[in-house]
Amino acid sequence: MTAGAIRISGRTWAAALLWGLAARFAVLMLVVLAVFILPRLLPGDPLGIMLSSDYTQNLSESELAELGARMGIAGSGAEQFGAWLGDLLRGNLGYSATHARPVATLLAECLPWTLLLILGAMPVYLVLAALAGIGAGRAAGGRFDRGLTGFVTILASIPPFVTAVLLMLGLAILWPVFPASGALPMLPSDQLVIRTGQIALHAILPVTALALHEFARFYYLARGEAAVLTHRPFVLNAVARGLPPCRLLAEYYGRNILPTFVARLSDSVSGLVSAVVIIEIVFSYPGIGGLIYGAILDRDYTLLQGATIAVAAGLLALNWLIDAAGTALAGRG
Amino acid sequence: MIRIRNLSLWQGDQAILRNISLEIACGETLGLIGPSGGGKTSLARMMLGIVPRMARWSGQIVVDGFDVLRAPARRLRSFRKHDAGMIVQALADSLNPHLTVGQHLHETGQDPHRVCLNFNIPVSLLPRLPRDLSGGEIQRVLTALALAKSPRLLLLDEPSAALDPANRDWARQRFAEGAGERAQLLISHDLELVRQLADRIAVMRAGELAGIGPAHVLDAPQHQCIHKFMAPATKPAFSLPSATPRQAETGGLVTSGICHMIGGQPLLRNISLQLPAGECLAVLGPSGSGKSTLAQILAGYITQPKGRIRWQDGSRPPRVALISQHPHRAMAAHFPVSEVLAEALRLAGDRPEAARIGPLLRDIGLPDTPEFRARRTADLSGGEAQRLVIARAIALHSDILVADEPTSALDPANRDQLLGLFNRLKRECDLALVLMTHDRLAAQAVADRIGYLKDGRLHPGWPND
Repeated sequence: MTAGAIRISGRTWAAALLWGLAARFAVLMLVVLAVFILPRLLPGDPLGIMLSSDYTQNLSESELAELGARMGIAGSGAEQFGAWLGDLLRGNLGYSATHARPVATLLAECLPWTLLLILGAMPVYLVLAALAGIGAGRAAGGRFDRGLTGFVTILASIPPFVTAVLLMLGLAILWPVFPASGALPMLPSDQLVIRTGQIALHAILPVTALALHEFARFYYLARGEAAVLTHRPFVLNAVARGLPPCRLLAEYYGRNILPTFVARLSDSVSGLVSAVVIIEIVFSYPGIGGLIYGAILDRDYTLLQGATIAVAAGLLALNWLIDAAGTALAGRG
Repeated sequence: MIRIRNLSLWQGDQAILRNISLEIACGETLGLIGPSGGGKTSLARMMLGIVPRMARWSGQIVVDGFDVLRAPARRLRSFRKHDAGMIVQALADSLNPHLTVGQHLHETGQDPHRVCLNFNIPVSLLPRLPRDLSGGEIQRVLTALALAKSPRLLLLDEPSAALDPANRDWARQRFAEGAGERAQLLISHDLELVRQLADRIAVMRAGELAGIGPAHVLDAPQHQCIHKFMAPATKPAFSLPSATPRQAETGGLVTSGICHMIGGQPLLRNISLQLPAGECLAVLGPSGSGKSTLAQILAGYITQPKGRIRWQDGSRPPRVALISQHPHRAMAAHFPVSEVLAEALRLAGDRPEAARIGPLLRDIGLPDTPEFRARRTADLSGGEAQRLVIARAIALHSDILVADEPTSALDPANRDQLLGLFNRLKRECDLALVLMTHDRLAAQAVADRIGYLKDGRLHPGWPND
């Protein structure tokens, strides 16, 4: 009701933090269980998929059994789960037979590329959406607002894989200014500067597709918040004091929109990750999305389990941190 | 220096200002008085070129040859930044909730520490966010922000309502100092302040200038309108003796050991108080002494890890209502007036019929018309919003009413009506009333017990200042 009516004392805040952590740990445990059961409901198993190609046909029974044990599919379901959970608790994510490498190594190679896309897109769409949304919301109903909101509404109704395909078609195939796939050219340069340039060039299209996907969500948010802020007394007072436009934008609108942005970010990161998976597949980007997709096709249980758990743990940790920051900001009124 | 010609402002079909013409010369202070909701604040905002969106206007405002309403944005901003200053009443939300006092004062382009010394702001407030400031502290920050640039045009919109007596004197001196070099418009319900500062006085009601004349009209009001505004000479209910002392107490508020910290500093230490039902405790004290915080604790908005707040006899939990110091913040901006009251009636278990809303509005001195009932709370003036919040609290039929500066935005006539209403509620409804105020007269009129906050403790009796 009044300013600062709800104040969060240090102790209850710490308690809420711990409680949030415990809740997220419980969710992670559910993910661990689901990620073990779900792939096994798919038709076929890793061994079967491998044997469907002809050069492994002449393996003996004992060789097949040994291979199955290495893939983690020997014994009953409960035994498999026990063995896998034991490994997991020791920090061992298992061994991928398809890639013939430990899952942890594969993840370490792919995660940076996915993070590059996410961390590249995040500032782009957050800043652009805030600027555009504030501009439109300050004069809600005006010409700028009507034009931009109409455009964003169309943008918001296009699913990310379509945007990705359209971008690729337009800027990589019909007018090939950007590379269509991969994160690096066939023969990457050895020089750091050139190599960084090549990475950036390859990342532009996927990052754009990802940013466009999230832009609409945050544009609407910023526009709505700004329309309300325009009528709040402290903004009127600041206008009456003749503050420079950039200060008004950053310190008055920006700072006051931040808590809602943070709150929305915490529930939109999971959507961001599912979008990144699709975009990586479209652009054949060597990130974790392509890895998971391949693992599903190959019925590579260990890799699928390891990758999903790594993504889920990362998401939950991020979600926890963002929520904590959001609670701290919201207390300011 | 300022010339306003035939200024009118409409919002939808409603005329907010009608055909206003007035002039303020350099070195002159014009006092603008009138009942709340009359368009005084809208006029002051228009003088800075701030026109509400979706509103139509006509007329002209010229400041030193500069046409405020038709100026390009860049020139207008420079005018607001360098030439004009406006001090508004410190309602919540007057300052950016995400900037500290220091960051606000930095906007003046001067050293925040020096501004603090100049404007009677303790340096310890610099790192605080507005949520940890009292009404009086916010008011002084607003004053500093407007006065630090030495404006040629100073608009004062209830500049002292949130201040305690000592700071009010200080503020009055600041407004008098240098008044010779600037044009001042003073909007206030505090007729004493208007009398001391204004050279001429204008009365405004319902968007029209009802009269304008030299300051001594206040001493012998001729105009019927001024007369009416200046509170009836006889004060009904105001001077009524409080109820006969109760023999069998029906209950009461008992608290012990209330403590509160702000930024590691204790604000309230170990506060204990007792208040029987049907009595009023007035809590006074300088600004920043913790009155609003105590009000929020008593109303249960801030949890108390150690202290205890009990309702004696204990057979049922008491119903507590808080009248917030910041009425606009305390109501949903999109609610119509009738919905605000209907919601409170539903909460109290009554049926929210129109017939029940009418008496609530009339008791508090608000117009009971269909147009007023349909108005959004965001469009109410400061005084109207304050009275609506009070009416809402009364509709709850609470056992304890905690009123935080309920009279700060009211004109004298409304204030007397409110105090009379408080006295009646105490008598008839056995209400335990806790009144946080700077207003000694109000305290005198309704309080059975007086206390003041100093250094975090509640002392009995009047503060000696």
